[in-house]
Amino acid sequence: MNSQPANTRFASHPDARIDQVLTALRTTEPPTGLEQHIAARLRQTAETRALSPSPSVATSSFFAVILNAVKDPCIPLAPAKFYTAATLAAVIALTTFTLLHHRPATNAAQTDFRAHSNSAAQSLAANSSRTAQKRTITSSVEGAGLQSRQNSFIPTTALAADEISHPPSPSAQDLDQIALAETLAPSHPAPPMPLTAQEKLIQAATRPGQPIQLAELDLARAPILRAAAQAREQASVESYVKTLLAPFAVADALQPTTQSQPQEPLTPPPAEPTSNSSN
Amino acid sequence: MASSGRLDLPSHWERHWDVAFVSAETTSETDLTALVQTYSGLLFRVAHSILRNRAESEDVVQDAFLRVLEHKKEIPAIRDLRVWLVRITWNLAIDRRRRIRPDQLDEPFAESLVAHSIPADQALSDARQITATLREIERLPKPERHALLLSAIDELSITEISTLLHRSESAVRALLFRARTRLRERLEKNERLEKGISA
Repeated sequence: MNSQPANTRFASHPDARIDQVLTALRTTEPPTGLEQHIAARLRQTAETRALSPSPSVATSSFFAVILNAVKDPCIPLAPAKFYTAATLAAVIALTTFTLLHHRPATNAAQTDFRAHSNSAAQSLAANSSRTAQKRTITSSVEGAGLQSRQNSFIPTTALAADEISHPPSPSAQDLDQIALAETLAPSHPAPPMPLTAQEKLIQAATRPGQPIQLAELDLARAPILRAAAQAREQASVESYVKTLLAPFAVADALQPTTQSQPQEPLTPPPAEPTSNSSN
Repeated sequence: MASSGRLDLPSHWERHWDVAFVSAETTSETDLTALVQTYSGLLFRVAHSILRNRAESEDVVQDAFLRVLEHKKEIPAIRDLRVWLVRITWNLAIDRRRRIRPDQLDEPFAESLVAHSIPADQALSDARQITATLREIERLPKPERHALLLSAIDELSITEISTLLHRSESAVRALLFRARTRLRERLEKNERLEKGISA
C-alpha cells in the first residue's frame, strides 16, 4: 500500500537521505481500486456528456467559437470564419470612425497651441485689455449669429479673428480656459523656510526641558542657571541622605549604647577619718 | 519547457501526421480501458513525486484520463503516448501543487516514511530530516528539480526524461549530477548549522 522504505530508520548521511526519499517516491504503490475509480469517473463523465450536447457543437458564443477553433482545428470552421470576418469589419469601422472624428480636433488644438505660444508674451502683457477685446469680438460674434460662444474667452486678437471664421473645437476652448485660470490664479505665499541648525538645536533641547542644556545655550545666563541646578541637585541629595539616616538617629536616641552613656566623674575617694580625731 | 515549470502540453503539438511514425503500441492501445490498466500506476507515481499525497495524486490521474477522453480522437495520431500521458499528468500535478501549501503534503508523507518501531523522539527527528530533504528538493532550480523527480520514477528512462524536458540526454545527466551535488551541499550545510545551534 505505502512505500517500501517506510518503517526503516532514516539515515544520517545526506546522500543516503536523498536516496531514501527518492526510493520512497519510486516505490510508491498506487492505491487499490485506482483503476475502478478512474473507470467509474470516466463512465460518469461520458454519460454526462451523452445527456448534454457537446460543448464544441453547442457553443454559439462569439468568442467561444473563435477560441475553440483556435484550440481545436477539428471544429468546423464555418461559424468561426463568419465571426472572425465580423470582428475584423467592426474593428476597421471603429478605427475609421476614430480617425475621422479625432483628427480635426487634434489639428485645431495644435494650431491653437502654436498661436497661443507665439502670442504668450502679448497675452500676458495685455491681460487687462483682453476683456475689452473680448466684448468687442463677442458683439461681432453675436452679430454673426454665433450665440453659443458668448461666454468663451479668446486669448489673442489674431486667434480671435481666426476663430470667427473657424470656430475652435472644445479642446481649444479648454486650453484657453486653462491658460486663463493659470493667469488669474492667486499667488500663494512662499513655503516656510527650513529651520537653521541652531533653531533645530533649540527645538531639540527645549522639548526634553533640561535646564542645564538650556543654560548651555544662553551664555549670559549659563553660570546662574548652572549654579541653581547644582544647588538644587545638592539639596535633593542632602534631603535623600537625611531620609536614609533618620531611622538610625531615632534608634540612637532611644537605645543609647554604653559608649554614649555619660560616665561618672572621677572623684577622689573620701578620706578615712583618723583615730586621732575620734579620740 | 514553459517558464512556469509546466511541460509543453497542447495535444495537437504532439500530433504526428505521418502514419509511418505512429508506433504499433499506440495503435493497439487506443482503447481507454487498456490505457487505464497500462498507465495508471505510472501516472500515479508521476503525480505522487510532485504532490506526495495519495488522494491528490489519484485525483490528478483521474483528471489526466479525463483529458485523454476529451482528446480520444487524436490518440492514434500521437507519436509517444506514454510521454504524452506523463506530460499531462505532470502538468496537472504542478497546477494542483500551486493551489496547496507544500507543508500540507510533505509532512504527512514524511511521517508515513518513519519507522514505527523506534522511540517517539527518534521518529520525530527522522520525520524532520525527511521534511527538510523534501524542502531542499523543492528549493532546487526548476530544471534540476524536475530532472531529479522524474529520475525517481523507474519506468522512465533517461531518453524519455530528455524528451519530457526538451533537453538532450547528456544535459539531463548533467542536471541530475548538479541537482544531487547541490542538494547534498545544502543538506550538509543545514546539518552543520543545526549542530552549531545545539552546541
